[in-house]
Amino acid sequence: MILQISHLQKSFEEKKVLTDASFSFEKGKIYGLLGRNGAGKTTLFNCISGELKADGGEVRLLGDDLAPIACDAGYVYATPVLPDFLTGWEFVKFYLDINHDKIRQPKTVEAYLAMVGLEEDDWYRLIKGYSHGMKNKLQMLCVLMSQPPVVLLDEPLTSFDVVAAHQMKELLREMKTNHILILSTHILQIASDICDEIVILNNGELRGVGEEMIHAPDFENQVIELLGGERDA
Amino acid sequence: MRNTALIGWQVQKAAAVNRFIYRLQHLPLVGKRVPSSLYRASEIKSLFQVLSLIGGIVGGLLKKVIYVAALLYFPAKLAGDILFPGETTISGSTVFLLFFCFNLLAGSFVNSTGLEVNEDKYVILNLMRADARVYYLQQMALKLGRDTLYFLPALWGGLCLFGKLPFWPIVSLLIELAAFRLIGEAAGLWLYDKKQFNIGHSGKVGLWLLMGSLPAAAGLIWLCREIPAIWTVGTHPLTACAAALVSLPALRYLLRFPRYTYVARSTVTYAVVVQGRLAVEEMGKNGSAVDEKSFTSESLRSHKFEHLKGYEYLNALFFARNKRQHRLLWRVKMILIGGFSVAACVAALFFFKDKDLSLFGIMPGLVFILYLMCSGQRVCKSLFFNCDVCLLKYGFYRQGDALLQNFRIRLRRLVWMDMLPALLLCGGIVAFVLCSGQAESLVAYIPMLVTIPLLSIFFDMYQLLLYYIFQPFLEGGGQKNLGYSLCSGLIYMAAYICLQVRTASVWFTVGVMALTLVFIPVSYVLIYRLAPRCFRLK
Repeated sequence: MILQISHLQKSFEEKKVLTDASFSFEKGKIYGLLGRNGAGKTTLFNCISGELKADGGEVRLLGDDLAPIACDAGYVYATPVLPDFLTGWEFVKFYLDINHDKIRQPKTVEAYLAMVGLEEDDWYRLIKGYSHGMKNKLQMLCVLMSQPPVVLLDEPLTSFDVVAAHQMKELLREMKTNHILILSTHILQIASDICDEIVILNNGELRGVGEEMIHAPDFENQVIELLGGERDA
Repeated sequence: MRNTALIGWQVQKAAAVNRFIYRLQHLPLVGKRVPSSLYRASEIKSLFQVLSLIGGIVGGLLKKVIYVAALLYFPAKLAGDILFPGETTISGSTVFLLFFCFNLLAGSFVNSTGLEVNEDKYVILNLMRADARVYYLQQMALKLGRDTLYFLPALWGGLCLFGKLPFWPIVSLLIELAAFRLIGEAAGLWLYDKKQFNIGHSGKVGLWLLMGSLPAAAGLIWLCREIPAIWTVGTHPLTACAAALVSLPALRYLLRFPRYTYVARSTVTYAVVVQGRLAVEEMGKNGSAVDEKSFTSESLRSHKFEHLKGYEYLNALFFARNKRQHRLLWRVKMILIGGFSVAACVAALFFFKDKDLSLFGIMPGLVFILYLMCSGQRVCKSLFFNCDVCLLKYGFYRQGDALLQNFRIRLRRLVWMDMLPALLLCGGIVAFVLCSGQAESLVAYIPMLVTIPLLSIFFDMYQLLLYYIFQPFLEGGGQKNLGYSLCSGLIYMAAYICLQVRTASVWFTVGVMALTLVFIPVSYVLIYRLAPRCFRLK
């Protein structure tokens, strides 16, 4: 399965955010999307997920047989968006009901909640009272339940505590065998720790970085240079 | 000192102009033609600043004119008609007593400039680090100046209209207002500094003061109805001088108060201003949000609606969790209709036995009453800010079928919520007809009795339809959509015009019935066609 982005363009009035973004993302890898503030990472995610209509270019998802399939992307937002008036248990039940036709081998609500490490006492609390990390777990759970072929994660691990972040990383590593995972982050340690490949978004264009660079000792300096910043002396 | 005033003014004006450009950009049709480069076009922004200053002055003046007309002169005229029938002029004493209760007492203590919290204040005091003492004193002086500038023509113009021309009593009144405002500011700061009590934030005290001022004014007017000298004494220069003298210690306290910085740091905080903004907007404009403490752990664990699926399940939970905020208004409606019906029946039985009490002419008026009874607008706001604002981020929620299904479920719940008051109204009409001895003409009332529930359905459907095809609410709080405002205004106008219609024609009833019946399928088609495109986050 390949997510093919070809010559994607998107402008907001005079500001050109994506000028000619092209890249192919493959199944089985976790991609780290790096870019400076305002580089257009969220815009790119929105164009891939269909939330925004691109001005030019195209986003295509090719199946394992390289035939085009519908681009169904799951999006995990940096700021969780969940209905506050439901409990965690109720939200998962609602999500399961709505997406029952997309979920292969559905589990029980309780099994799903346990899967992301939510304590049983928290299942029956209003989401309004959840911490940021707990809300993020619920968001991640939506992706785990519906298993869309493409998963977009906007700053996914920054709000988790050490244990939860470790659990999430393990989940993502498990997921990558059947999905295309792209995560945007500002934290290079997360990128080097979990990502198989780094993609730089700079001046509205995408550029892949070799796998060997991720584990190179001067990884940080190289990324800074690629992003147009000044290199350390 | 001049610098602080200038910075404050510039920040406020710059923010006002930027807001104006932002709103222009969000106007339908023309909005897209307004470029973002306007934000850096300094000449145009200067022009906008001047326009905004003029607009602010005109708007402020208009607000005071409306306030004076609605809360001083109109009640004074009403009180005059009841207490002094036959007199064409309004009683100056009544105006004075109303002004005394609403403005000198309640207004001065509830609206404290020193303890008021807003974003401009946060920017100037926290980000620009302006001198708190200078800033607070300037703001108080500005408020006093503005009140005087706007109240003077509003009060005097009103008095001229009612045949009382003297100008100087108004000046005395404004000196008294300034004196009470100074005392109110000083009292507010003293209470906050010494007792950590913020009168402006204490909703209960503020509410009691404001609510209490109305019966207090009414009581004083009733008690003093035989004392016409109140106006003369109240607006006498000596009274004004006395008030000014009493306010001198307050002025001294304000000038010497050493802890303006403490007040600024503890009231105008990041948490209160920035983080609380959305919550305040939601609470203030959309009714209270769901509060976790209102529910017991057992009720949250109960799987009461588990048998329902998908959107039925979601909406059942939404309406159950938000029941408290909807129920209060529902009860008020039921009590008002029930009480009015009983009173009308008693009046028909005992006081108006020999009069013609036919109700056929009230149908046009009922249109307006049913419009006012409709909960649609309030429920839509609550639906958006407590539910849709989150779920619209999910693709499945924006699909045509899902929208239609949600619309259908919500319409059913809304109709049910408003149907009982409508049926009670029907019951009230039937009871009145029977009590007034028109039992034989009851059959003739059937079209009216059918139209009332139909109209209730129509208004609910109309509001829900507008919500789905315009989605007027902004993700960050507030409401902006010209189409929505126009259509809401249109239905209000239509309902209001019906109020003015004086007809007992059966055709009017038939017309309303036909409109309602046609509207139901039309709205379904519109929802299916337009909502997937229009029902989105803004």
